[in-house]
Amino acid sequence: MDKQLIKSNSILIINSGLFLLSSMALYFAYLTYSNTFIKFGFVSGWILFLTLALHVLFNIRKMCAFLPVGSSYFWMQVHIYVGFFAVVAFFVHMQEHSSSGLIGLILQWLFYILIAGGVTGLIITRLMPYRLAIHQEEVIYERIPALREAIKKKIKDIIALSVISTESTSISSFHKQKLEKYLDGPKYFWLHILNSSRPYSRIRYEMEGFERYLNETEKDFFMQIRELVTLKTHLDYHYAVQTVLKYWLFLHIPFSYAIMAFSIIHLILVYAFSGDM
Amino acid sequence: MVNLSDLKIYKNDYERPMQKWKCGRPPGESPCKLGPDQKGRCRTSYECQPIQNSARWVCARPESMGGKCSEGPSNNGTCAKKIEKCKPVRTNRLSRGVISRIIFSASILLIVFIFSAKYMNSIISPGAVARAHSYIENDCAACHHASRNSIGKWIFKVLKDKKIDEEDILCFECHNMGLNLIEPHNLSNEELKKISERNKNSNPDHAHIDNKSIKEVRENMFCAGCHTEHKGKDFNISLPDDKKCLECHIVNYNHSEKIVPEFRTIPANAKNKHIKINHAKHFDEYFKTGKFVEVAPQGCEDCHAILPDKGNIITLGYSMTCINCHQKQVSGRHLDKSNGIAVFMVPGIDLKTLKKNNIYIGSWPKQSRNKISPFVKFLLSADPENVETLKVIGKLNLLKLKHADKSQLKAVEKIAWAIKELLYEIYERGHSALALRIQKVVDREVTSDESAALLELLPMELFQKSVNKWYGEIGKELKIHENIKNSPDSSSIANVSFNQLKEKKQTVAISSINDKNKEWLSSGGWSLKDFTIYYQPAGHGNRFIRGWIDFTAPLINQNESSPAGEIFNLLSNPESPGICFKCHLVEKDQFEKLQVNWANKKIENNTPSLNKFTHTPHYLMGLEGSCNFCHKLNGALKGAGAENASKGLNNFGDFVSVKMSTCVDCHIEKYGNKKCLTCHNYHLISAI
Repeated sequence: MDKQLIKSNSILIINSGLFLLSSMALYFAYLTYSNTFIKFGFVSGWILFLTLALHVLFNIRKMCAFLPVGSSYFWMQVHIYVGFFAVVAFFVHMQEHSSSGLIGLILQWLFYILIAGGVTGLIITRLMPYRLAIHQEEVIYERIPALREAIKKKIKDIIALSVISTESTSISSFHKQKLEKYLDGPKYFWLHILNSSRPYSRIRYEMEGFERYLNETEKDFFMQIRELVTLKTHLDYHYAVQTVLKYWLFLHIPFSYAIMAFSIIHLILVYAFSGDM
Repeated sequence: MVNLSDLKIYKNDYERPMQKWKCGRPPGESPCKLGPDQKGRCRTSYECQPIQNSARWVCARPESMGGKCSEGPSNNGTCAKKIEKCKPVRTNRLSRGVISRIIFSASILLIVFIFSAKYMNSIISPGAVARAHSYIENDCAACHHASRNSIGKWIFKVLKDKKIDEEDILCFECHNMGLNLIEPHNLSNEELKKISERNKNSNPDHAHIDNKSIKEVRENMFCAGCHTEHKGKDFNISLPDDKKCLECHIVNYNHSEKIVPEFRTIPANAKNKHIKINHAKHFDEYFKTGKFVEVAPQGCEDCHAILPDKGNIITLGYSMTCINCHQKQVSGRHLDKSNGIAVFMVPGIDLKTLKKNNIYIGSWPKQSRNKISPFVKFLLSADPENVETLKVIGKLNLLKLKHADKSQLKAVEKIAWAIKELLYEIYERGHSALALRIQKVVDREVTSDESAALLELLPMELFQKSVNKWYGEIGKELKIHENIKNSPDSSSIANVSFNQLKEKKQTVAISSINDKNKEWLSSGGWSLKDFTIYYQPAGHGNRFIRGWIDFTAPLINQNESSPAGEIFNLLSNPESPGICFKCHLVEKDQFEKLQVNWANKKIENNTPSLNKFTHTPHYLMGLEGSCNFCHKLNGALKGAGAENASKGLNNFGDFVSVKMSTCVDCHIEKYGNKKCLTCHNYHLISAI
């Protein structure tokens, strides 16, 4: 078996085991100490706060790559499993101390957004790269607009040539009616996310329907255009998937700063207002 | 087949993940080689930076950009090919950073707004307060010191958490919890130890205390430790979780498995009762007997009621319960030969013997066979001389003085005259004389209520008529007696003087109480029969009998054989009219003096207790045979034990002590209610 695979499986097992053990320990502690005189709410709250702080540290670690504090992979693993643990800690903390006040509600919803973003991101970062890797060829995201423009230009060149050669404007008309809009910018974003084949089949249907009316010479030119249109569809696929890969963090990172701010406020309020009634 | 790599595009050599800005030229155009600076400003100006070669300027455009241009630099060294500046575009990373900063700043602004808002308290409140506290919902300072401090101190508190002191707890500004505010159960250490010891000894299976836990728990033992607020209007703040109890109380039994300590005695044992009643005999025997069947109570609720406020059980009064069966007994109608209580009488004396011994007591009814009544003895003892005289007489039979010695005969003489003096005193001055005598006996002032009860409207005419009948000219006799006492030759004068009075015939008709007279006095009162004035009580709670019992009971301790003791014994005889002590129990008070329990025991529910129970919800549940469901008659007491129970001698009365399993079966088995606070109190004082 591949050494890399064995290693990654071992890491998965160890990390999962650690997560399960710590979650069980936390839950057991909750069952034992909740509703007792021991301020378990403070304990679970601090645990939760520290997990959040650890998550934020991951982003700082990425910014300070020069620091010898472990590899990015290690930090990612910590981030993921501590994230799962944070979910458990959150619900344990909420069991005893659910709040209907404004700050409590803000904190709750920020946490829900972060959890949703984190889980979504985990799925995306595990699923999408694989799909990109098996999908045609590799494309650099920042070059997609340039490539799109190049395809547009090339198609226009072929159309110009076909008009001269065939003395027919059929292809040119078709391009104007159907293709121009399609080639202008990314299309079928969500269908590509869902890995649907409909974007391909739709445009293929359009083009096959038109091709019947062409003569042989025109068909040759149209064949080249078809290849380029297919290429553009691939590009759209890359664009959609890589956009999701790049932009899901917009849901995750900004709210983490907000939750830290509100967590500190919550901490101050809890210490200020509890315990001296 | 065309590939993406076949397409010719202008590639940006500076595509790095950490870049914040990128060239803003459209995708079809070649992006500049430099790229924007860190602040997002386009750095391009010309395609090359011309090099000066002696006097000439040479184009220095690199090969990658097309090599030397045909135009060449201008004379002043400026490149001919100016590059249009672009509008740099934010990269993904920078956009994300900007959004993060915006959201963070918005959060900070929101926080600042919250803390500076007029309604800060309601905004930072973690939830609605319980209904009981709703009137102070917007006044955080009522409960939180923090609201009375500045925000700076809040931050300080995070860094330095202070130990809670009694003075810190603001709950006590409204809730009066007595002493030992933050001690467990609001009890002092000593009191707690006492309770612990008592429970350990009497009930070893009872939950014991983990002293180590108490020490740890004490630090957190303030109100909010159990009573958490801000859980909503409908949250029951007064009912904390059982886990709090289990912090200290190690329960080594399991209610649900019925391994439980038993109750000590519920209901209270017979010693604590005030009224003697054998429930078993009543229900199983008396109520089923012929004439009582119709009037007998059908169930417990016919004699007992539940008070609405605290659910205590009270016994309804005699007039609502016992009267149906016991009325005739109480009025003494069952005692056919009884004429009532003999109060005033003329004792029978052996006049012949006295005469033989030259002892003169004036006129004295020969037919009387009475003994001196305890009431007369009591009144005589107002004079200490009489007390001595009575002692000398002792148990001498006044009708047979043949063998009495001289001192005894003298004593008889003295007592006879004393009786005459007593009767004449009452004859002349009536109630006031009696009251004065009683006062002298007890050596204290007698209240008007007491004397009213003790004298019970003794009618003047009856008394005077009686004395006249018995003695004729008692006043004259007493005068003569007085003179004789002071004279040296008393015996001869006595003989002469009394002979003169002999002429008056004294006849006292010997009558007998017949049914007609009894009928006449069916509502009680005074009557004369032969040589005795009787008092016939009628009805329950007769004032005369109760008055004399209450009056004499405390006096018994000193001397049971004293006149007071004799009166008490007479009236407390179960066969005497009124038959008070058939049902009413006597006990000693805190000063070891006898006290009769006339009323049923008052249930004092104001005494703080660590346990709680109220009958009302249990009774209203409509359990089959409600009362009997928990309170089962002790069948073992039907026989001889029943007699003991009647006398209040059986420790468990006539009910089997309620079993814990009776409670467990419903509370836990049926309804799954295991909450400690269902049956136990934490605070001894109500916080409301």
